[in-house]
Amino acid sequence: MNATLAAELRKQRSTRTDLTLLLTLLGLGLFAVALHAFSLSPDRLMTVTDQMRVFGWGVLAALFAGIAGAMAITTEFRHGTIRTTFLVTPQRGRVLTAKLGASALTGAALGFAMELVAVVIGSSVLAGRGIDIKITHPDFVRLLLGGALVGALWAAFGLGLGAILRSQVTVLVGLAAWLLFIENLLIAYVPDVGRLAPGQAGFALMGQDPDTLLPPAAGAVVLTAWAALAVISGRVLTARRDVP
Amino acid sequence: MDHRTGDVRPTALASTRDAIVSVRSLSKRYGDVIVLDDLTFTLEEGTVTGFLGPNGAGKTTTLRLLLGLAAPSSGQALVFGHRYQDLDSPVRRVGAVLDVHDLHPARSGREHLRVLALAAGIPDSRVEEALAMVELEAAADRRVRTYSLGMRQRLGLAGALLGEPRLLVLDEPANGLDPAGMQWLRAMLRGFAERGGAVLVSSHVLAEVGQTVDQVLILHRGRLAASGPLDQLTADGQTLEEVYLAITSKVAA
Ligand SMILES: Nc1ncnc2c1ncn2[C@@H]1O[C@H](COP(=O)(O)OP(=O)(O)OP(=O)(O)O)[C@@H](O)[C@H]1O
Ligand SMILES: [Mg+2]
Repeated sequence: MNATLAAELRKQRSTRTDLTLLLTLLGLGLFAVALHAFSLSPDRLMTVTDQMRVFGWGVLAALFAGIAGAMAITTEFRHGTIRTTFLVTPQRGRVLTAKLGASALTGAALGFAMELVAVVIGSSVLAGRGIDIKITHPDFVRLLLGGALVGALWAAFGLGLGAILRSQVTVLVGLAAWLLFIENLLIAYVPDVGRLAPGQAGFALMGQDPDTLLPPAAGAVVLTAWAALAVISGRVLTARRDVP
Repeated sequence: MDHRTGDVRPTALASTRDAIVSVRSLSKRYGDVIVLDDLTFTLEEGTVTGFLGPNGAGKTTTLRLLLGLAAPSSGQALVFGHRYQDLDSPVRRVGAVLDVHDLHPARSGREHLRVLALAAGIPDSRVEEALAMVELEAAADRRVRTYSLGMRQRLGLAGALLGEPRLLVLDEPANGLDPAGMQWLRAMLRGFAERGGAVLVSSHVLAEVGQTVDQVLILHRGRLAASGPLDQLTADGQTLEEVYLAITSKVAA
């Protein structure tokens, strides 16, 4: 198992995919945080919930971690390296477990880095504008650790979807459409259902939108269940199906 | 999955004592389409076997079944007496190249081999040996996207040789090799068999096959249409190409 995990980590490092994802995420994050922190009027930055719009960027953490997880397996199908991978390690479940470990690490790093940027830039800008920061120390800790956890779980979710669907384009388009479009519709029109979606559950666990979303602990449970469902289905299908 | 301490020689059946590959009544269907139909053959150590047949005959499918990438609809395909996926450290027994394009374009050749070595518990020093064997050292740090077809073939072969296997399974390895590369491949395969290994190599280049292999398996529409030592098949003065064309142009029974 250690050898398989080491090989997966080495695969990640030997292409620039994850670095590109990290830099893009941080660039977008910087832009989004600064835009909100500078442009929201002070009366819209009064409460903790208001200020979470500046600090809580679960959506970016989830999207990029999901992409990283999905890429970990769909890239192998796309380039045919999955054949070589399974020739070296025919225990397909073991390969997926190693990919889960490697992707979860990447996802956690992406989510943590995103929130670190949000917290540092967001509080500097608000402080510079003389706006009282209502978010307390424990909230910041929840944002940072929550960002890491959302990243890890969304990477697992993306990996599972990737193993199920195999086609890179389908999975990446699907993840983005789901997270950025469908979940927004669900939470706007059928919030009781939308709350249970993997993205909203992740935002909940970071403490975003407590009025609409689940309590953080429940969010963590729901997102974990989604990630587990995707990974287990992906494993079962990968074990049963022929490798193309 | 499997914890057998893999003895390379299956001893249970005297008749398969030396069979490195043993394919029995192997069939594969995709939906209603029968792609492989009741295929049976064995490969002994010390042989190079040419795997021939028209496009779509089922050669690659057979190799995928043999390598545990696809599951048979019925029958079995064993290497060293076991299913591939039940072998203890398969790359130390079997080296395979199925598709020359199975490489990540953004990874360098050396990095590609190092990833394989790491997963298989093979030291990096062996990566350098394999690169030297296929004469790819100069390009080893370039990304695979910049490789020519023949360089990709060489890299694939280096990967197959990494674990010092006793069985080589190669799907059209000559495709894209330059004359020097062809000559090297021919010598490598012959040497491999002389040291007691077995080679199963699919090819459409009959002239090349004629110079390299001891025996051939000719597949036609999923069935084994002919098999045997090369000199026996061409005994009545016909060339391999004539024999091949005669067999594969016949309407399947
Ligand atoms: N996943 C699949 N689903 C359906 N049919 C398949 C699948 N894979 C292969 N086939 C069919 O099986 C037949 C045998 O294909 P295979 O790739 O084994 O042929 P081949 O002998 O390697 O041919 P070539 O010389 O062109 O490489 C073909 O008719 C092909 O269309
Ligand atoms: Mg083929």
